[in-house]
Amino acid sequence: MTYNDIVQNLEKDEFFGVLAHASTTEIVIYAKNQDTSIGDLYLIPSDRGGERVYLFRMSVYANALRREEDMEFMAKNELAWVDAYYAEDLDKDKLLKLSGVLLGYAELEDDKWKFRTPRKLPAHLSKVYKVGFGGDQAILRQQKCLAAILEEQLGEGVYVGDLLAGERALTGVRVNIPGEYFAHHLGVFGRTGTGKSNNLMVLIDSIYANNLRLINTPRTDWFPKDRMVSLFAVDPHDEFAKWKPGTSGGITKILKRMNPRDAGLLADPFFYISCREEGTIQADPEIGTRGRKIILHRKDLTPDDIISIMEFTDLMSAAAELIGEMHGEEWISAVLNGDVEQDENVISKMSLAGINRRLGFLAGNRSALVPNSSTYNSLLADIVIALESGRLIDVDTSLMTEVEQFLLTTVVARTIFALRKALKSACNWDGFIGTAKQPGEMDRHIPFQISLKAALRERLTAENSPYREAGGTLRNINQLPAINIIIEEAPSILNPARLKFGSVFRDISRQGRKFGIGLTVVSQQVTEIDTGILSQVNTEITMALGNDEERQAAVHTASADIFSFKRELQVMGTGQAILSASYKNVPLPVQVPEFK
Amino acid sequence: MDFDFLDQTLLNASKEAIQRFKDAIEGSKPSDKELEALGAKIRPYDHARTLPADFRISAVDGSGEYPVLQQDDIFVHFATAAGVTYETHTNRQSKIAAIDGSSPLLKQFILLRDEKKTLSEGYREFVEHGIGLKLKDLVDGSDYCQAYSSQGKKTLSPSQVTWSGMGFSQASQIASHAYLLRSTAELGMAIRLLEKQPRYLLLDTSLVYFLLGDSIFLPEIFKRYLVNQATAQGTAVVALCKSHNIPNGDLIGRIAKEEHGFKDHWYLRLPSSALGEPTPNFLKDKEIPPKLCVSYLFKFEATSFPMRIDLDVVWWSQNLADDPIKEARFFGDLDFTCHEVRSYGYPYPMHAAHRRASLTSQERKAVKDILLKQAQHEGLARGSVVQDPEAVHMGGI
Repeated sequence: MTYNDIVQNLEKDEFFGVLAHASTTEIVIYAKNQDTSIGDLYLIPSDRGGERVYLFRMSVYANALRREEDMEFMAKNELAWVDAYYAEDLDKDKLLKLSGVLLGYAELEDDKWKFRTPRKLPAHLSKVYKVGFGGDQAILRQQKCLAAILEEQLGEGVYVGDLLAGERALTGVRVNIPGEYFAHHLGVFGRTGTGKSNNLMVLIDSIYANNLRLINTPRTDWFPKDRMVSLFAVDPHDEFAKWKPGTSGGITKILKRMNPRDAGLLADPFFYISCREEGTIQADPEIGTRGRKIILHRKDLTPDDIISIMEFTDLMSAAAELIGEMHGEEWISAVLNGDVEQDENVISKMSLAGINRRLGFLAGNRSALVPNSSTYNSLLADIVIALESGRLIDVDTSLMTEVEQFLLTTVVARTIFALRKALKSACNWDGFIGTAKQPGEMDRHIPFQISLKAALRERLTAENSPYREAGGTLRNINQLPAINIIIEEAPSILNPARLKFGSVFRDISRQGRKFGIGLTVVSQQVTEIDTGILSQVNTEITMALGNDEERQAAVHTASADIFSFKRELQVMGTGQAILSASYKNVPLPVQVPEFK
Repeated sequence: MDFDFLDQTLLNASKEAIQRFKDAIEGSKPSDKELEALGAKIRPYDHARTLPADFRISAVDGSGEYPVLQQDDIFVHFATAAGVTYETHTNRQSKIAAIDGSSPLLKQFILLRDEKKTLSEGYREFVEHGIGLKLKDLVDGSDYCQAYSSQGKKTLSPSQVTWSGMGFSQASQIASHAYLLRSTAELGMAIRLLEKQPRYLLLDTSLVYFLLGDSIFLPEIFKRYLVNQATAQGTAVVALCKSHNIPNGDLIGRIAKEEHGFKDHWYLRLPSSALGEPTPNFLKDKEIPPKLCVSYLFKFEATSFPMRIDLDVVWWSQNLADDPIKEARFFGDLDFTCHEVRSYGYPYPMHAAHRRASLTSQERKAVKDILLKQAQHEGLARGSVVQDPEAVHMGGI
């Protein structure tokens, strides 16, 4: 679509307003007295200095009269004199004064529309076209023009929602996050009731669609930023699998509408894990054998895992790490069984008592997630392999305590992070997996968990190993899926105090991208999250926020300038969000559709 | 003058000027007998919240830039006039509504120069092409010659009313041409509005005929044509004067309030020579009421000042004729149009016409810019065409 095509398309219908004032800080448009709402988008073609189409987003508007500067006296007169009236000649004079900021402008470069940040202004008295004004055909034309100039910004990959213009979702203008960026970090911020669960459900659906497309497309035909996406989806309300009561299903429905081969490729051997008994899970015909009881073993846990999720003093942290080094994968049993000897330097009586008390939730069979068992029995290796194979795992945490939920997330994240680091460090397969004579990179990065490594080795050396090419060579990390781990109620484990002494999440936030591992930080509060973590987030889906402090923090945190959206962060409706990303030149308001 | 004039002589002179001003006001004061007689004729009318029947009302106002360009004795004037027409809707929330397509706008450049032939040619072109009327039609369609003959010492026949026979002051008498052009534009627009068949046609001027019987004056030909055509179709030409020009008119307002208890919504018909009535001494030589007219001093709302209305005597005789019921309805009708929030206390159609016609300073500049651009294109961008001569000279000093 050329500049002239856009102008001709727009000129087929009425223009909505005329540019009255344009400066680098504000745009003012006088417009017809027609329905509009804050957030509406306007196209302003202008050929001054080059053929460009500017995009304006209205953030403030006011009623205006053409000839009367002051309407107050009219209102006062009407009140003062009971018989005062308005003549019916006002209609032509009734105008709207719209103001806001330019989001940017697009110009053709090598036959592709490039959208740029607003460094230029449209010419005097340019005609302004509202997106979503007029009849159905007019709106379709406007959407087509908008989609053309934003093509690069809308992206390909995982569909997030439709571009939102005021109160209208432009269903023809789909906003996507390329799969590659799930290996970066996402922030999902919004107060209760803004539709975060639905947004995640839509995201899950879109990730399945993305992965299905890529499975069925030769890699040579992928878009530049395409990548399979694996998701570790913490599901505190146990709703993603079957969605809300009265609906026809969640992930189960998504899989059901696929052909069995595709469903198997995307969801086998399991997609749903829960603390409920496996028999109970699999008795549900919708889930069947694609459901697993989640269980970890004490031997899967490292001192860092525990330190990352609980309050530990400096001394306690040092003591726990030393115990880990001394007792290896048996360190928890050693502490709980009283097999750790105190010393005068690091493992003091007080520290040991503190560690013991913190590990109390793992004593006996108190934890359904980590029951006490002498034999190694854990789903961790299977979870890791599933995620490395492009699977989406719905993690029902409704029966877990908060500590268990955080522990599970931490252990999975840390294990995958360690494996990916090992994979990147290794030159060849043996260098990664190790031999009888020479430990591999996996041993170096997972030093103590012998049982887990054995389980991993068994699976990674199997025929369909995600880490090995058909010829037996080591697979490059870039060919593996982007693994994204959702951290619900993020402030509980990503607050500054918790991260003070180190955390796997701090490491992942800083280095995860190069290993293809991303975090999705979900929170009602932006202010409570460690700034170091926030600074690493480069895609934000910001919904309505509860108070000014949070809105201010969201504006401050966003990877693109969303200052002009700040007012709307207070009033956005369910499913409405602002998508900002460091790789997009413009923040995009989106309407996430209801998952049906 | 750098305030050098502020000396004792000036203070003495100002004191004397004010004393003479005071004497002039008191000298033109009606006698007690005259006041008593006028006061006795003051009548109230009802504040019109509803109407017995809806009607159509038009209004005209003019503006312009006089001149917009000048070079030596050559002047280009820019005349504008706007007309509006409304219908009342007594039973609707919006009590008055504009009629679609009823807001014509006249905008015309007129070239005048001191040389007599070019001067009258400028007016002829303005009237024929700008307004769309021919002098012959104006004369034939009106009683101008008859009225002229009846008021003056000599008889005027239609064949004597020609462009060359019309008296015009020199083009450099800018103020007189500004008045002439603006009045002609307004009256031309009023004539155009007659096709809307309004019951009332409001003019923002008086119906005065200063030169009738003495010399042929273009606006007076227009006035007679307008009034005659309007009366023939039942339209009242209502000339509304915000400044009533009645000496000590405030005394009449005081009588209305203090003696009759009418703080607003009252009217007083002034004695009219057109009806054969003797003119009170204090109104002699004032053309109040104007020749061939009946005038009222009246008040709409308490918030507005008393104003004056001039009506043609023929229409008045046919429609009001001192009938208090008809007069009350007439003023009630006008009062009903005064309740729009933007112009409470003043007929809204008049306000709308003014708003539509008046040129803002930016609009005046735009017109000038357009002309200057054309002048530059034609190679005339020199001297006072570009700048006002006075500004050029003053700038030099």
